[in-house]
Amino acid sequence: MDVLATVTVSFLAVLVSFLRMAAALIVSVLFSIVVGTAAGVNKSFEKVAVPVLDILQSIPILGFFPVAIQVFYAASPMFGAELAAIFLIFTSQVWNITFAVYESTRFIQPELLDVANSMRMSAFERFRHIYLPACLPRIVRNFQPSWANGMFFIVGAEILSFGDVELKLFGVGTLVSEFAVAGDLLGIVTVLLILVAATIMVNVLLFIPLGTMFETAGPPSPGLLRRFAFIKKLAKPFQTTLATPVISFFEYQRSVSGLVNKVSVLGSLVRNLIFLILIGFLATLAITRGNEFFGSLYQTLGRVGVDNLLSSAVFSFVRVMGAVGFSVAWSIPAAVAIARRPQLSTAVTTVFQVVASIPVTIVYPLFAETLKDQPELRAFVMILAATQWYVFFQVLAGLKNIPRSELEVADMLQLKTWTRIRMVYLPRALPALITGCITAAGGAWNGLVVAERLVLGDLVAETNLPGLGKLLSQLTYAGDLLGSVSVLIVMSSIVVLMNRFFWKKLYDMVASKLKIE
Amino acid sequence: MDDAILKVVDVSHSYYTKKGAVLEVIKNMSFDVKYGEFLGIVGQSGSGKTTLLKIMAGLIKPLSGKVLYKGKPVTGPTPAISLVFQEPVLFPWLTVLENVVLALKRVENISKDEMIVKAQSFLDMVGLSGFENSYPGELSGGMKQRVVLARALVTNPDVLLMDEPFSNLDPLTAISLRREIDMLRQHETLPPTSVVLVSHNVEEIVELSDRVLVLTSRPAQVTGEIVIDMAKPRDRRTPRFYEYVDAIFTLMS
Repeated sequence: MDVLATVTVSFLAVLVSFLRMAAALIVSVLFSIVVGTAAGVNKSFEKVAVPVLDILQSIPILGFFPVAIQVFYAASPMFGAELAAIFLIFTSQVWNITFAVYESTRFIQPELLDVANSMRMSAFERFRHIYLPACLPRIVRNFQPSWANGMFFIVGAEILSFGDVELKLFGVGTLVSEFAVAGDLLGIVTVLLILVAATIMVNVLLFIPLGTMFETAGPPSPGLLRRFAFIKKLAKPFQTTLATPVISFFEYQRSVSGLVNKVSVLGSLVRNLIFLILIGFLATLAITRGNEFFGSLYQTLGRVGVDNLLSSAVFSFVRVMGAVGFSVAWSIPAAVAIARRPQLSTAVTTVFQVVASIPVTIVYPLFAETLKDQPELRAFVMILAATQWYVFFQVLAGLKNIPRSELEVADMLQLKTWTRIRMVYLPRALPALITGCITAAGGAWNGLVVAERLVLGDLVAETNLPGLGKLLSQLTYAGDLLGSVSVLIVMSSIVVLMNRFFWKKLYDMVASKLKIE
Repeated sequence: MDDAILKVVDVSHSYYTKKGAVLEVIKNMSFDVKYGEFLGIVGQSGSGKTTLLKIMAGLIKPLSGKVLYKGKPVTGPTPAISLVFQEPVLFPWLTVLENVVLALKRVENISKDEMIVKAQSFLDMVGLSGFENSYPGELSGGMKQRVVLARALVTNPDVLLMDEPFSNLDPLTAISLRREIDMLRQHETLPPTSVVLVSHNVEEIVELSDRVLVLTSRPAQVTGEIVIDMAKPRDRRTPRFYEYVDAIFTLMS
């Protein structure tokens, strides 16, 4: 392939992948507005929807492979592959947006609803003038993290296989894997450059202005943004002027950790089990049409092996905690260093958010040769990519939210740098740090499915040591539905148990120590 | 040497609003704080009083003009000038004692034990013995403001600046705290030499001040000065008291 052809095909691949991402994002927003508003308005729907959302968001993308293939591909082989891919991207973008909508419609001032009642507003008017404006600001702020999350798993969405069915769609993921298999370094670099440029453009031209749109009620912004002014107009009643700039990753955090807080521990464990077992086994029953169902169940457990599951869980656990620990170790000093310098922190935030949207899975082929003999290091770097930003942005947000008066007192008392960090910054950053870790750990568990075993078409990179992500990936690509369901159950149970018995406990301990609510 | 411990010389300050407009808060302000005096500064809400105090404390750099402490320019916070904010700001994760000790960390040649003894004695002075190990969240508003006062005084400042310290307290607590500040002032040996109290509450100002400066609203400028020649403690119900109050109101409007 000559250079021009490489550039053209790379450009097209990025374009096609971005269109897929955009389509999934639009579907995510529509889904979120419908489901989120319904959950926010209707109490009985809320009781069902919130726990289900909590389960769904804890399932890594591979868990949706069977659904994507059985539902979309089976329904229409012609468009099915495309729909399946969009569906998979959707599953990695949607949950934080849905929860943001739910939360913003659920906690609308009751007075406002009283007024709506007294004015006899119709359901549509209510939606148009109250619910929609209430949730729009948080929807647009969730775009950026959702996009970043979708890009992280784009390879999985574009090259999906389940047993005998293998679908390969034209896009960045596929193209990079082809270049990687062919050893075409120039090709990889070309795709990456175009992808990075496109990511920067989407962020700078769209997400960042959209995210900051609701911050100030100034005159309409120039250029492209004016076209989106209708969003701002729609949300007019809920516009607030925020003192600190919004960090969209923080929004994501708020959505996900909010979700975690809504569900009780035992409840969510039990529901997780029931839900996964039910869906998993029902799906299996449907697929196998009941043939030798129980036989295959028995076989599965024998094949996967309980000891295998447990040792995989232990190794994955160590990887996840290692990544979280590493993120904490660099996030605190970095955030402390920039938090009090507004211009620097705005710049760093912008750069980091863009960097976070560049999928490490696509960058990997560039370093495939170097990292070939270091599978654990590769896995670690990839988990880190799915982890560290949440910790960093959360700590930064925590530091930025330190009350002004406390900083003035610190100035007044001429606290030396170390005393200031120890007595003022760290206590204020700690609760934020823990919520950051919760989301980060959740992201890390989801990220394991590509980190421990990255499938880039014919290029497969996996860790030598066992891991749940590796196991899930192997079973899923081999088409072993029961096997993947059992791994999913183990994985999501660990996440729930960790949230409840470690992170939540830690948070409560810190909160009581710091005398904060 | 003149009789001013703190001199505000031709200070002006403005803020930029979000739309980029310039908001003049203080304009060409000059006045002295004399040795040993209790100076009251009264002005309407939003007249830049807080900004003025922060400039005097070295927390904010004025756009033009300067503040001189004993003849030397104030370039940043110093233990010699303490500021009590309107809200009692204490760190909730530190005990009352630790909050006060925090102010002593900048003092050189003082051991940890000495710090604790000193902080303790100032907590006793503001009537908080027995609360050393409580956390701010367990204290009432008035008690918190006392802790703040102890923290402001523990470094033996020459000048104590107070920004409406009574405005967030319930009336009874405010009365007793005012009394205590008055009593502390009677102590010959105790710091601070001079006190500056900023408030929009005219009665409060008249009750405590030796001299009162009246400010115009934004941009703040000194429009008048009244020396209050009454023995302390002052009774608010005397006609003399109200003559001063009226005089100040006349200057304010």
